[in-house]
Amino acid sequence: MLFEKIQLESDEEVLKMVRKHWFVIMAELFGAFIMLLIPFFLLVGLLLFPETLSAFNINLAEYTAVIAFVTAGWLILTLMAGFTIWTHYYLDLWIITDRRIILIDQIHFFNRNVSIFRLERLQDIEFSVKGLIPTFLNFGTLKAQTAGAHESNFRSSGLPDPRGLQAVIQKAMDGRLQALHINPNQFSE
Amino acid sequence: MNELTAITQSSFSLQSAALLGMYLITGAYIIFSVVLYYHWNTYSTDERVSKMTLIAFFVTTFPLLLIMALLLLVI
Repeated sequence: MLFEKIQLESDEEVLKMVRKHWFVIMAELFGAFIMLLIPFFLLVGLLLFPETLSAFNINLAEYTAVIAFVTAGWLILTLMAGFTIWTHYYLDLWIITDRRIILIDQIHFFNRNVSIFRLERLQDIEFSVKGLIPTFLNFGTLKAQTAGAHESNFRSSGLPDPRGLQAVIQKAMDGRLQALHINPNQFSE
Repeated sequence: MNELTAITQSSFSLQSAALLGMYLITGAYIIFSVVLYYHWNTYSTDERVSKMTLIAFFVTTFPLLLIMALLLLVI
């Protein structure tokens, strides 16, 4: 399992684990669901216009086995696509601990990006909620800047309750800086 | 006689295409199952969700593969 691989530090506490908003996966799965129904739409279409088939001298009943075979193959491929979407959704994860933020980005099956940012290095966290659906369903993009190289900035979209997430990170960051005996106000000036 | 040959050749090619399709889908299915199992076993944070996902995958897809194999005997 994942936590065995990440190896949390001693006394490190996981504050929050966040996945993308349910709307993000529902929108993707809806596409897969429509794909799943395509053979049935085609069949209904063919049955609604039988004269088209008779014009080509095709009797659909003779091809029942072939149609069922192709439909079963199509369903397997679409289900595989659906499970790929679910896997990418579930394995894409933000883990906020009291010491760091661990960002796991499962881009494809063979493209996995794991970034770790220490809270004391974080400088600025901002969120944005753009659009009608994100506003109503309360999900958006979270961006954070870390001290040092520009490449170490990170950004993730489709996160639920970005305002609450920002507050959790900010609180954890302040707590971490206090624990390290650094005045947290020096960063806000 | 010519018509009979045409029908035989046509049905043979249809059966060959179905067999090729079966091989391709079975190959893709085996590779995908291994990759899926590996990812859920290695990267998941919740064992229960992993089990449910893998069970759901095999319960929904394996019968379809069996149906395809059975239909191949009819085609």
